[in-house]
Amino acid sequence: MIDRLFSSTSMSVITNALAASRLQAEVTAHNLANVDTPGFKRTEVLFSDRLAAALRAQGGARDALSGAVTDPKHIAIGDVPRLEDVQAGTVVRAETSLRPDGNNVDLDAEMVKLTENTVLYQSLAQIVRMQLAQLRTAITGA
Amino acid sequence: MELFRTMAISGSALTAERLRLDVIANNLANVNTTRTAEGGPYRRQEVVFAPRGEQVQWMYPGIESDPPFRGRGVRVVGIQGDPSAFKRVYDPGHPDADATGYVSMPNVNVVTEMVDLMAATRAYEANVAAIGAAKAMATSALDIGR
Repeated sequence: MIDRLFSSTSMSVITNALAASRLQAEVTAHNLANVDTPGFKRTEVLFSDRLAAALRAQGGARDALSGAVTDPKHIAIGDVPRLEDVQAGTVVRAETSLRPDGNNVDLDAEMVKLTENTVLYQSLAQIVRMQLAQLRTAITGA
Repeated sequence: MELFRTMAISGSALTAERLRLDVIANNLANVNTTRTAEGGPYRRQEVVFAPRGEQVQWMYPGIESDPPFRGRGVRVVGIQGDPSAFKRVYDPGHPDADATGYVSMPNVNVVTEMVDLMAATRAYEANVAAIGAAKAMATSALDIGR
C-alpha cells in the first residue's frame, strides 16, 4: 500500500526523467570539455524520443491484440513497453564534422542544451516536490 | 557521486584550457627569442587534447548504449613543438645572424596566437557555465527534501 504511494507511473517516469536530465548534464559537460579536441564526436542523450515512442506504442496498443504472459516460456505477443521502464541511453553522433579537424561539437547548441536541461531538471524537481507536498497534505489533513 | 562527476568533467576542461593558455602565453612571450637551451630560435609549442575515458563508445559511433556513460572529460596528452620552418629575417647587426646576415626567428605568429587565446578563453567560459548549471541542478535536487 505504502509502496503504491511512491511508485505510481507518473512518479516513476519523473524519476527516470530526472536521471536522464542528470545524464544529459554529464554528456553536455563532456561535449563542452572536448570542444577543442581534434576528431572528437559529440554524444547525444536519448530519452524523450524513447518516451514518445513508448507513448505512441501505448496509444496503438489500446485497440491492438495482445497476449497475456503467464509463464516464463510464453512469447510476448503485441508486447508494449511500460512507460516506467523507459530509460535514458546515449549515442555517439559521428556522421557530421563541424570543423576540418573532424570535431562536431557545436558550442552554441551545447550551451542551449545546457540551459534548457537545467530548467528542465528544476521543473522536474518542482513536480516531485509538489507530489510529496500533496502526500503530506493527505497524511496530515491540513 | 554523479553530481560531482559532472563538475569533475568540466573541471578537467578548465585544467586543460588553462594549460593551453599557459602555452599560448609562453609562445607570445618568446616571439623574439633567438637563443634556446637546445640551440636555435624558440619553437612554437602546441597542446594536444584527447577525450578521457570513453574508449568503448569512441570505437563504435552510432551505436545506442544505455548508461553508464563513460565520458570523463578531456586530458592533455602532450605539448608538441610546431615543426613549421623558422622565419628568416635580414638583420646583419643581430648577434645571432649567420654569415649571410639572416637571423632565424621563432615560428610564432602573433595573430594565430591571439586567435587561439580567444578560442581558449571562450572554451573556458563555456565550461564555467556548465559547472554553474551542475550547481543549480544540485541545489534544486536538495530542495526536494524541504
